[in-house]
Amino acid sequence: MTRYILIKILRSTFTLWIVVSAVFLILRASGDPLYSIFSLGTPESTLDVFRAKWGIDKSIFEQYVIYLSDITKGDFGTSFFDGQPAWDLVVERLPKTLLLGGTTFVISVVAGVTLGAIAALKRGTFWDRGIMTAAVASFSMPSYFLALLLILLFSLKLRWLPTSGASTWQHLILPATTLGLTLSGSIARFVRSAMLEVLRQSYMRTARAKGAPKWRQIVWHALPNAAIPTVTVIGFQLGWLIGGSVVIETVFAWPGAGRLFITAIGLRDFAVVQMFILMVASTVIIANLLVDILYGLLDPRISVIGVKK
Amino acid sequence: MSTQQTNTAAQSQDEPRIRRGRTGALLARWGLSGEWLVTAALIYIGFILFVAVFGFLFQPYPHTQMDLFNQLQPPVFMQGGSWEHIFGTDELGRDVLSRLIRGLRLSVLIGVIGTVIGAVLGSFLGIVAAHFRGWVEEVLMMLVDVQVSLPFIIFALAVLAFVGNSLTILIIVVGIDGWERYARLARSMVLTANQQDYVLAVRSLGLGNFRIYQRHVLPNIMGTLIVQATINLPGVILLESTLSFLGLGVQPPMTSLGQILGVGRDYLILAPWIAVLPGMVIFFLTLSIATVGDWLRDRLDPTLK
Repeated sequence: MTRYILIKILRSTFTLWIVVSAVFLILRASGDPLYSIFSLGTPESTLDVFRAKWGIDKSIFEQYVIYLSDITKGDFGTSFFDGQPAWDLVVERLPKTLLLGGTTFVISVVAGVTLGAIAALKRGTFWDRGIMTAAVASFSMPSYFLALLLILLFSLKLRWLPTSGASTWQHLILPATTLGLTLSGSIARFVRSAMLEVLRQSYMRTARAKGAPKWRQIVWHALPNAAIPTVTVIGFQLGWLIGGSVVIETVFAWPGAGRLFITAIGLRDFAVVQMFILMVASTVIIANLLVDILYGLLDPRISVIGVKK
Repeated sequence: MSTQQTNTAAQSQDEPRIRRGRTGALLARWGLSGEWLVTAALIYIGFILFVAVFGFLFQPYPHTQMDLFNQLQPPVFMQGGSWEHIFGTDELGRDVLSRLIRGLRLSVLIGVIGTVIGAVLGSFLGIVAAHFRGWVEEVLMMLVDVQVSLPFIIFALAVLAFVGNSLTILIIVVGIDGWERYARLARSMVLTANQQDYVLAVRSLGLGNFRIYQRHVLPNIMGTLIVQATINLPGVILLESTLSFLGLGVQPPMTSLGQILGVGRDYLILAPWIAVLPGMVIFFLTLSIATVGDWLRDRLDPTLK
C-alpha cells in the first residue's frame, strides 16, 4: 500500500511539473507583456529598465530556470501591477472561493445523491424519467446563462436577492445555486447508475430476504456500496467546479480567486496567472490522489491490485 | 440497458393494439417509437442545422447593420414590438434575429470542427499508445493526466488572452478540449482488439499495420468513438459560448451565440431578450444533442454506460 501511494505521489508531482512548465512556456512565448502595460510611444529606454527589473530581458529558458528555482524557495513571483507577491494576492481571495465552492459542493452532493438514489429506486417510473431529464437539462444549460436567468428572476423582477458582491449570506445563494444545479445533475446521474448496479447484487437480495426494513436496506447496504464509484466521479468533478466557478464568480462579481484570474489575464499579469494555475492544478492533482487513496481504503480489493501492478 | 429491454418488451406486447400510421412506421424503423424526447431533439437539431447552413437566405438584415433610431426595440411578442424586427434589436439597433442566425452558424461551425479535431487527434493518439505500448504509451498517458489536472476552460482563457485571438486559434483551442477522452477510449479498445482473433488472423496473413488499423480495427471501434463525439459535442459548444460570453472567444464583427449573450448581459434590465433568446437557442441545442447522445449510447453501445 505504501509503495502504491508513493508511486502515485511521484507521478502526481511529475504531472504538476509538466503543467507548470507548459503554461509557463506558452504564456512567456506569447509575446512581450509590456505593450499591454505601457502606452504606445513609451521610450525604449523606459521599457528596457522595466524589462531588466522584472527579468524579462533574459531568454525564455533562463527565465524558466529562475522561475522554477524561485518556486522551490516559496517565491511565486510578483504582480506587474500592484507589486504585491502573487501568492498573497491569490491566497487572500481564496476564502471567498472556498466558501462558494464548499457551499456548492455540499448542496450538489446532498441533492445529487438523494435524487440519484430516488431515480434508481423508482426506476422506470415518472420520477426516474423526470429526475434524469432534469439532470441532463441541468448540465446542458450554460452556467452563465442560468446565472443571468436567476438574476433576472430573483434580483431584478422579484428583488429578493442581490445581483452581485459578497457582503452577506444572501449574496451566496444565487452563485451557489447556479453552480450547484449543474453539478448535482451530473452527480445524480452517476449515483443512479451506481445504485442500479448495487441493487442487482446478491447481498441486496440477502438483505431483503432477512427482512431488513426498506430504509435499512438502502442506507446500510446499498448506499455505502454505491459510494465507491461515486467518490471517484465526484473527485473528478472538482476540476469542473473550479473551472465553473471562474465563470460564475465573474458573472456575480464574487470577489474570489477566479475573478482575480479573469482580471489578471486581461492585464497579462504573468505572475498572478501562473500562481492561480499552479494552485488550481495542484488542488486537482492532490484531490485525485486522495480519491485514489480513498478508493483503496473504501474498497480493499483495489489496493491489492495496485500493489501487484 | 434492461430498461430498454423491458421497454421493447412492453411495446411488443402493445403492438397489435396500436395502429401505426406512416409516421409511426418510420419512427419504429429508426427505433424511435415511444422516444418522443429523442424525436423532438432530432427535429430541433435538424432545424438548427438547416438554419446554420441556409439561414443566411432568410436573414432579414445584415448582422452588423445598425439602426440608431431603433435601439433596444422589443421583439414582436412583447409590448412595443413590431414585425419589422421580429426578435427586436440590440443596443446599436442591430436586428437580433439576423444576429442569431449568423451567430448560430459560427457556433455550430466551431462546435463541429472543434469536436472533429478532438476526436481525430485523441483517437489517433490512443491508437498510437495502444500500438507501441512501452514508453510511448507512458508519455501519452502522462499527457492525459496533465490534461485532466487543469480545468480546460482556465487553460483556454489563458491561452486566448496571452497568445492572442483569431478564429483559427479559437477553433484549435476548443478542439483540444476532450481529446483525452477519445485517447483513453481508443487505447483501451485497440488493446482489446489486438488480442482478438480477427486482428490476429489478418496480422498472420501479413497485412501491414496501417491496413490493419484502417480496414479492420477502426471500423470496429468507430461506433463507440462517434457516440463519444456526440456526447462531447454539447461540451464543446458550451465551451465556445462561455469563452465568447467572457469576451475571449469570437470577436466582433464576427458573432456567435455566446458573444450575443455576453453583450446582452449588460442590458438585462432594459432589454432581456438580447441575452435570453441566444441562451435558449444554446440550451435547447446542447440539451437535444445530449439527449440524442445518451440515446445513441444506450442503443449502440451498452458497454460505455
